Amino acid sequence: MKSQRYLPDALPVPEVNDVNRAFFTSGEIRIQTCQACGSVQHPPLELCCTCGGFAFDYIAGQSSGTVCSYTIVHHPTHSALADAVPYNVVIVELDQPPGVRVIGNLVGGIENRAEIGQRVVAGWTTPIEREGQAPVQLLQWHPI
Amino acid sequence: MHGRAAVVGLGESTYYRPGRSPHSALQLAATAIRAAVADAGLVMADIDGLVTWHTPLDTSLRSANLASWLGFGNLRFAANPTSGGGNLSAAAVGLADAAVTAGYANNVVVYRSLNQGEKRYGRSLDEEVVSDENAYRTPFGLGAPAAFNAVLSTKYMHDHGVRQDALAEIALASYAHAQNNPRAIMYGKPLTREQYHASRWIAEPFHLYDCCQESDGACAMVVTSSERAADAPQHPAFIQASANGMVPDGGLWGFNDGAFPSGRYRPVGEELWQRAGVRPTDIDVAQFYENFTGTTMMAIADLGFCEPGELNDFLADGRLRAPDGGLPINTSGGNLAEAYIHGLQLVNEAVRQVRNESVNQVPHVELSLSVAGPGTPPGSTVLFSRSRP
Ligand SMILES: [Zn+2]
Repeated sequence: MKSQRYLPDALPVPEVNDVNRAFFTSGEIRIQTCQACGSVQHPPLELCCTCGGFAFDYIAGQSSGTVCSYTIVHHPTHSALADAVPYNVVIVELDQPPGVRVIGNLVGGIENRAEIGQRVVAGWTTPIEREGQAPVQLLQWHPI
Repeated sequence: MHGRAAVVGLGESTYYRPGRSPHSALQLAATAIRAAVADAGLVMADIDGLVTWHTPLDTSLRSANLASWLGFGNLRFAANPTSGGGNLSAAAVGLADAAVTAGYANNVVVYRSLNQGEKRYGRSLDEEVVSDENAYRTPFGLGAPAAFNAVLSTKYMHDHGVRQDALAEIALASYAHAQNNPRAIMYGKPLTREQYHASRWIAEPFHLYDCCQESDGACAMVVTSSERAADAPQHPAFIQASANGMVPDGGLWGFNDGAFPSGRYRPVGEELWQRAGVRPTDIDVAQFYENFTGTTMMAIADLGFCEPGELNDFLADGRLRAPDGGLPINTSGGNLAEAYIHGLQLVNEAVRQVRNESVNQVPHVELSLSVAGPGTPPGSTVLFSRSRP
């Protein structure tokens, strides 16, 4: 599912690097998995926090999850957000791999609100260009 | 190996609203440090240790430069606690305690100086792309401390049934105490419960009055050995114990630690009480770092003053108010209503309570606690006693 970015395009985007490329550019839930020990970790790093390994796969996770926390931001702390408030930020616990928490925004909720326990499905922004890196697609959660 | 060091001098500049200081960060630091050294009955040449901390959003004064500019003696010990900001104020005093106890320095200055006209906190950085942990937060509008702490507090309040009025109690205590403190930025600006609830949201569950000031100013203290403290002009505040720490995975990014949602702080309390040989019920007065009231809420439970599910009742009925609530907190007005010198001004207030010099003095203080963090790990604590341990 593709949609407009919930927050203004002038807000910064992630700097893409070798370990976060799958998560930020593929348009699907791709979670870092250690080739040596199989541990799953998010956000990705250059180092496996379980065995110290340096080599990873980026496996597809399930695109559904549950809102485990949120805030509604009313005071803009970035110039790009001045006309975007109030807006929500949600923390979603994925169904698979279990326990992984990812940060995003909930699109299409009632009056921009969110609730703990709400079931959501992942969607993605249309690709966002920044000079010198692959186009980024950011997570946008939708109510199920 | 505790109780070997004491705070013998306190100093502060005037506290200003952000960008309003007529003085630079260096001038503010010099003002606070000179006052602390004089209060300790020492001269600059007696100072041989320096502890402070900086963040990337800060004017950074190098220790070697500052020591020479202020006329310190041989700088035998210079250190910064790392990983964060306001979680480090008690850790800075703990480092000075460690240096004095181990004999690496005799008289250590701990200070913090902020001039936000030079550099401003509380905002996201204006960049096209963001890296490291910010890559997972800023693009989603989770760009500043109020919002990340709000996410933590929303979940914590949900899981433990904590009501908005519990946060209000923390804010109301700080504002009530500031009304007796002419140094406080919110002196002469009392807050009612109605005004609290009617105030605008910053990031839910934080209203305007749940959020700390941003300030310009500096504060400082002098730490020396308990032996030398016996000759000091002021009553010493003995460092009975200092403890730092976090849950082992508390430094993972993006709310992926196993202790979410909490202050990630329970091990700090366990170590503090064990080192000090006292319990939470023995504490006479406490200063809790509150960048946001939710931080204090979690610290109170993480340190064992009550269980998370008891917070609504524990924080109510004036318990947090000086002089005679069961646990008076933030007796100078705290970060919310006195000033935000990154929490070090709270440690100065903890020392004043031991010296019997607070504007909201609690009677017969024997044990005075200062708590830094939690929220951003590792957190830190320092416990002062009036009697030499
Ligand atoms: Zn591994």
